[in-house]
Amino acid sequence: MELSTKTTNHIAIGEMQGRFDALEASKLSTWLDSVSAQSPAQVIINMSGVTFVDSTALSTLVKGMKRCRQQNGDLVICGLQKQVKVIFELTRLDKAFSIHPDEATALRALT
Amino acid sequence: MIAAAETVHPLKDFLTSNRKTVSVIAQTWLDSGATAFGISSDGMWLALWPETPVTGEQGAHSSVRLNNQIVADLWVFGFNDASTRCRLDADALVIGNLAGQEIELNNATYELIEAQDQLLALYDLTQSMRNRLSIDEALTSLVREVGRLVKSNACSAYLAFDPPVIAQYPQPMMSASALQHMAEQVIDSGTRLVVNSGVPVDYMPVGMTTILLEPIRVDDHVIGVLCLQRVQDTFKSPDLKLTRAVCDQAGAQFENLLLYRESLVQTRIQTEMELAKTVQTHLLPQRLPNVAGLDVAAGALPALQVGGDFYDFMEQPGEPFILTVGDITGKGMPAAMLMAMTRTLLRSKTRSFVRPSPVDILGSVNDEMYDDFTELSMFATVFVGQYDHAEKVLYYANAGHSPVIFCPAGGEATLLEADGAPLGVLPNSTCENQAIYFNPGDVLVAATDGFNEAGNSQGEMFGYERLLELVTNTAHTPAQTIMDTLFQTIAQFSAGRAQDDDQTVVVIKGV
Repeated sequence: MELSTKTTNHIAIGEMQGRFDALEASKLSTWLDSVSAQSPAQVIINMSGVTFVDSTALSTLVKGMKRCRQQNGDLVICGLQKQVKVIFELTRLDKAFSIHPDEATALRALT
Repeated sequence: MIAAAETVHPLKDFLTSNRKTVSVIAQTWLDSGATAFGISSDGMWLALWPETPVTGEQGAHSSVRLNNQIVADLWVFGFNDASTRCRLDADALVIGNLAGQEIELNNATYELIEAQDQLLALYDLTQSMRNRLSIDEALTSLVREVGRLVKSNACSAYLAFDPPVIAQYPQPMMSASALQHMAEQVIDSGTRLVVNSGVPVDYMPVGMTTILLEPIRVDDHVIGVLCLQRVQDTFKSPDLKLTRAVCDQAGAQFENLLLYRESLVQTRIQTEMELAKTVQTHLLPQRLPNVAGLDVAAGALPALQVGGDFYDFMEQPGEPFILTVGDITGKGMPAAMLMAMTRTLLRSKTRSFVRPSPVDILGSVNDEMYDDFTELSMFATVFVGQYDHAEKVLYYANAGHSPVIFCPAGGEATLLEADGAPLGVLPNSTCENQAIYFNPGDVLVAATDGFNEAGNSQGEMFGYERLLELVTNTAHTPAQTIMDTLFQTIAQFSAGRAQDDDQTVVVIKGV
């Protein structure tokens, strides 16, 4: 997995590529810890390049989402590929996260 | 004028220990008519026969030499002819040689004792470090012992660990950053460094003359540096050799300590894994329930690193039969602990309500455990099924759990999708109660993701499609057979690949 990050209008955007599993989740976790320290913590995770997620990856996202909400913000997800979207639906995490088709929509939702 | 010698003279020890031999020479002179015989240095008598001082008489003398240095004079009184001088020269030569040999012997003995002392000190060092279980303690012990062993005014040691470990004895000779700066030079170069005070270096502590930095190696890899300081003297070859020996010894000790620490960590992980496995397997029901209208099978195959899978059955007279299957994210002891808590809460919440619905149970467990889950950055997917035999209905709620598969008698298997987010994700559970008719021949397979995510050697996952097909094809067989076939098929599929995750399954079939 590769994580590239940027900031647009005070919104932290993390874009990921490849497999998002236990081995790689710690990278994202470290970045999420730093960007969710401010208030309001607004984060977009662009997962359009992600082909697989495991349960550790999901719990990292859940942890980030909770932390952002505590900090008067939110962590939203965008660009889920079909097979990853299925995981979100099966676990009903699609009910917990605000999920958007692409980064532009996600940005609009947070501003 | 001439008085007994008072200062320590190179011949003093010799004359004390060999007084008899020298007395024989003196007596021979006296016997042959000499009035007195003596050994003097700087106008003072070291020895004189007879003991009464001689005055006014003329005598002959000859120089006694030690290593070609004149150290004393041999005197004889009463004669002063050529043969006397010749005999006296011979006696002076003999005494000089004897004294020289004795001094050499004494020096050799002294060196031997000192070498033995150093060996003993090295042994002490080994013993003292051996009993230390932490790197910090071992390093402190090292600088203390080395300070005694190699004469120095201060001794420090630096280990390039993360974070660095530093010990200084008897007191810090320089700041930690200065020590680190010097030590890193030695670690980079891998060779000994001697810094003399003449060298203009900013890190040379005030008042120090020489600093000796010797690398400490483990497996040819420099892991740290021993630093010795002297105020007045420079370090010479024996000091360098001894310091090298000490560092070799210390390196071996640190290697042992590191190996020990590694094995300790391994043992801890092993113990934790065993413990987690014990928690998990002992909390699973030890026998299958006997439920009217149902054929039940259940099994679990924990992975090497145990996850947080569980299943449970609750039978109470007059109450519907309840089954739960769940999976806590994460692995090892934290997952096992949360699994135990979740399972216990599911049981107690079931009992504390009157005929609770699956949503009542899941909602109250979520309320109770949300903070714990948040604290540990974990969540749990849980399926709760409630079978009412009289109505032939299976009520259920599914907090993010999959796969849960339903296969109607003679029909095709489908996934019973979750209706709410997993426990611990949202402060309020979003589950809804669902109901399906559960008639004879209908099959429910509630498994964990260890089945659909099982991978083969090509990195391919077993997946939901194969799982559904498998259930469809085996649904006509008893619950136990359906379960056995599941385990066997997954084992064949992932043959040769380590099992990544727990595989847990409950199968119920209407009869």
